[in-house]
Amino acid sequence: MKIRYLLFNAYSVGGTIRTVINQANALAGEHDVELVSVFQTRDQPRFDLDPRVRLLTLAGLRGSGWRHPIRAWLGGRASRLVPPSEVRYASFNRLSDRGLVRYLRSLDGGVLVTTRPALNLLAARFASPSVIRVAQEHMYVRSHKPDLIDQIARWYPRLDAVVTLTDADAAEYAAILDGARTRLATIPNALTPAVRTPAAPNSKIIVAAGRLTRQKGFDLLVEAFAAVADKHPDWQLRIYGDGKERAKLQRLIHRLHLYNHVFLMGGTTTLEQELAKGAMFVLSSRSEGFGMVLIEAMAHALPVVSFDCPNGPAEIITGGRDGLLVPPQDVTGLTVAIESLIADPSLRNRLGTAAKESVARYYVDRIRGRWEQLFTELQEMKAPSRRSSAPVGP
Amino acid sequence: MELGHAEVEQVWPRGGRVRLTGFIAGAEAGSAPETATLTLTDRDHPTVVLTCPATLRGGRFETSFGIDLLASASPLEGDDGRQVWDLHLKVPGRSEPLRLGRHLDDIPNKKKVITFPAQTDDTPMGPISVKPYYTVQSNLSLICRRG
Repeated sequence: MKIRYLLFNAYSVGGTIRTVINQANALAGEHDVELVSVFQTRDQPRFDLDPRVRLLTLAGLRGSGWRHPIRAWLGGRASRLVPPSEVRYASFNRLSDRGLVRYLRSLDGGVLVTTRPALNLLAARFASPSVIRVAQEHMYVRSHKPDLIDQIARWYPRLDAVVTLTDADAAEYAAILDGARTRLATIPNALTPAVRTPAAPNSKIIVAAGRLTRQKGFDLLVEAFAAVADKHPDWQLRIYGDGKERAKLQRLIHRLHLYNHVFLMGGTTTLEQELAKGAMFVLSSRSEGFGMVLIEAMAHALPVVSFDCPNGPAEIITGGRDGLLVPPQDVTGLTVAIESLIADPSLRNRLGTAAKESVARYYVDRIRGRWEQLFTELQEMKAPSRRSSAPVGP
Repeated sequence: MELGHAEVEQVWPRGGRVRLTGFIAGAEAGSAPETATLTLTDRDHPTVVLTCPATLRGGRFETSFGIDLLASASPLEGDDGRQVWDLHLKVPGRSEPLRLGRHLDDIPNKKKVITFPAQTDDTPMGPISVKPYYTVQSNLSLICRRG
């Protein structure tokens, strides 16, 4: 099968890029896979790409402007095709419009996977119906501005499939694309292959990780931990990640006199090693696109405590079996859940063991199988409609 | 890591005082209570040394001083209202004072990761603020600002 992934910028770093490159790599063995980047900001992608995956760029702007005056002129003009409500609107331009439309119109047959709203919308408008057009949602539909959701409602019905990370988000899309023939499917992100040491159940270290933004709710976690530290002064909380709320969180830690117990560890490139030092993992987000870090923690057999926030945690965790779910933003509930795990090493062990088994469903082989199955089913749905339009014999 | 040091476990800058707890790295536990001395040395003027008593029990130490202790050292010429004090522990039976620091855990970059709030006080010598911090070598020092 010919499968093309269309990315905003394959040369940057970020969750979407990492996930898409993992998918392309996973499918490269069996399929003819192409990774198409609208923009190119460096020589090589930052993530390892399987050499069998072909890489091409549509609107490269590298090199000096005066050598390519038309290109530079187009590159400096606002896009006419990307809606301004797209978060990345300002990064698109007339040059990328031209490159994208030419590319999309050139396609015939095979699969095209597009990976952000602007690209999904353009695929719906300009790619031939002979192509199986699959849109990926790497966040969740309610994370988009209302104007963009209007565009989604208008154009996505032309797509063959919209794939979300969670069932909850698929249900939102079903309501928005009411009556469309577009197939809705949920396929979560795969667990990146890595060496994973089992957690340290007796370490008295609680681990949390994520960008230091309001969305991740670390302020709620620090407040919840204040009550924990009073009763269990030998436990500590380590928060990995950086972000614009760092100074604010540091002040909160100072104000609550938690400087001996809560540490803002900064960003790390070795989260696997840091997760393995923990006795439990806590996700305190106000919202998530999916909650991949929960799955990564569970793969280390870490017992996890998570707010039941939209979207993801409730689909990853079965409360009481392979982790603990706490009502969203319930600080007292979070304290109680953390303390229940501190007080009961056998519960930590039981939840951690179950967590490791439970996340086997996210292993890359399983997820690859789900993508292949979806593509095959979409191909079969397309084939009869082609045949039916062909002349029928006597 | 220095050969022989006083490992800091907790720092409590609270209520106008700074309380410190920890243990003597490599010390044998179980000895009788003893009295040790915490010294605060002005980094730019090493002859200026402040002291306060510390208790030592089974290799563990604990000490606490009011931030007005730092106000008692009158600023020397050349100071720009900012003084750094390096902390050591003088222990009976050891000739050299032990530097206070936190070296025995796996937390990197302590100067940035483990930070403490400043405390302010209006002293007869004017307002001061005192803030413990870990140096880039993970030793414990205080920064004191006047005015």
